[in-house]
Amino acid sequence: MKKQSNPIVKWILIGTSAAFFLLMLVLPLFEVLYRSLKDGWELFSSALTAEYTLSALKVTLIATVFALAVNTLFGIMASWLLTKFDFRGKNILSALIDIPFSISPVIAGLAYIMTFGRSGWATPLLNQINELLGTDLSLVFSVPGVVLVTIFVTFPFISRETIPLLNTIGRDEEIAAAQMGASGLVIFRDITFPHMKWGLLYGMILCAARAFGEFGAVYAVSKARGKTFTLPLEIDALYMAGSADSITQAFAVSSLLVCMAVIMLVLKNIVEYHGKKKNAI
Amino acid sequence: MYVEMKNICKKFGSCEAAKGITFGIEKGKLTALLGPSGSGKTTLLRILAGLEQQDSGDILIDGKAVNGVPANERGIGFVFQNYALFRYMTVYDNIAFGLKVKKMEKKKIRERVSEMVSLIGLEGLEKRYPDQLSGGQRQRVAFARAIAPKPDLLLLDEPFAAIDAKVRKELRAWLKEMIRKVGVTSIFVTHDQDEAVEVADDIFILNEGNLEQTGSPKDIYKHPQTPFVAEFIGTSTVLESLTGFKGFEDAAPGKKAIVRPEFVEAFKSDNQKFKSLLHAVEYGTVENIAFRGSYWEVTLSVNGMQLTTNRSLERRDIAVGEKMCVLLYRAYVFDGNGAEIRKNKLLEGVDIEAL
Repeated sequence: MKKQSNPIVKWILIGTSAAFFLLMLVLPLFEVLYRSLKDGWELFSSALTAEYTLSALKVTLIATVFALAVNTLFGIMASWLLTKFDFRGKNILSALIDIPFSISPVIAGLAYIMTFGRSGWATPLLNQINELLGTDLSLVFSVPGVVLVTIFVTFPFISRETIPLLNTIGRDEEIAAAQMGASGLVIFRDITFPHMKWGLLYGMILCAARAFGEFGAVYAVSKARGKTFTLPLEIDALYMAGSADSITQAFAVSSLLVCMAVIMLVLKNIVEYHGKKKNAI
Repeated sequence: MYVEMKNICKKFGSCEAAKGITFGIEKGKLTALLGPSGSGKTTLLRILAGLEQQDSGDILIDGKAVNGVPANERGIGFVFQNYALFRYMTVYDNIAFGLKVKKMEKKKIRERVSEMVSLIGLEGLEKRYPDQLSGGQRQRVAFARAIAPKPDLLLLDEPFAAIDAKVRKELRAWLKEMIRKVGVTSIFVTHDQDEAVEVADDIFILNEGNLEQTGSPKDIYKHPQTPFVAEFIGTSTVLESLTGFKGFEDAAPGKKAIVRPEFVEAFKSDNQKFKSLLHAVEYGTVENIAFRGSYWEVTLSVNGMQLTTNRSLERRDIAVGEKMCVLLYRAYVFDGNGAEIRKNKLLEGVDIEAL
């Protein structure tokens, strides 16, 4: 029998959380939209089509696409490795994947500067590679640098979603398939992948959402407005400029990020719903 | 011998799962590997299938050594304990999987799968997913999936463990009939003696990594060769010594004896049927009466030792604490070499089986 809880307690709890959400989450976001449209549509649209904004949007999208591609591939490999094989140091590797979760993104950015910056130990190596290939690749204060730190901070999202999923499913089906003579590729394609696909998609959405919004790590390695700035950095620059117009513009660009976030949220919920339905037996 | 294992040893850390096991199985036989949990029976099956590597020893299938031959080239069909059906594939795709992997023609795959589906009687359910099937249906699909590629040898790991008791009985008969029909040499692992006795042609009893005894179910039941087998098969009571019982005075003292319920008769002192045997009875007190569905299981205390007998529901009611006459027909007595059946001396000349 279900224990009947006090309805007053229930409504107080619901009321408190609703008030909290309203105050802490909904109102500030609403404020962003309100402020961005306060001075008219024209200022809003000009802010969104400004050269700096478009450049920032481009850099943000590049970073997101790369981070998504690299981390999806890595996430699949890591979760496959960590759930289907036993080897020494497995727990250590599993813990290492979580480093980006526990380290402040600014530290990640600074670490990249220390490694690939002018006095970094890897710079001579990079210079040699550039000389060899005739390229002019730089890994800090450049778009590739932004891409790298974005990959770093979004590293664990996908594998953290897929590993628990594969763990609960176990290895039985794979062993059965292997016993019948299926190759590793067939086993992955026909057996493992269908199990992990919803978790994978969910992780990819989280990864993309984080890549859009990353500030600290990108801030450390990106200094050129209009070239390597991402949307969050552009918003910060506009806001810091301090004029009434630029602050409104900052809110306009922010509303763009908020919209992207809302889209991600909706996608996330759709995927979550499907994932739950599929895995329920 | 169609399948032979020679001196198979396997250790997991300090745990010895197989201590030099040797046996042979004839073609077409249905064999049960029976033992308590931890006896090494599943390990043995997995070694045979190539899912586990033995530390030493040889495996021969159809005269060919298969040591080091990968699992998928041994011509073995395997039914896993919880079936390991592919959850994201339909019944059809599950059964077809092994054939697709073998690169069989599409048309032939379709023919073989529909043949399998009608064999297991699941026509019309080809498009279902495993989570839309009952436990029994899942087992049928697992069976069909294992035999679809026409293996030379079928291995089943606890095939009935995941099914509820009611369906289990039905499925035992079904599986036995299926294996007869297909005619494939089969080995299954079980910890349930009823299952082994009912389904298998031959039973191999394993205990702590040793093969204790092999033989037909009746053979093993009637002539247990080790104390373990005598205790494990049937419901048995172990007696520290037999010498205290009438008719067994000359049994070697200090040797353990094992008594089955059917070796014991308990009756009220005014019983008509047994009145000619009263000279051979001991007196005991009823300690416990348990209802077992179709009979009572009665535990009696006799000379400070406990004996168990089964009592028909058709007989007179008895109560706990009641004094009863107890007749011990025979017992297994073990010495270093094996088991020996001891008969009650006072009953010599009496045709017990006719009672």
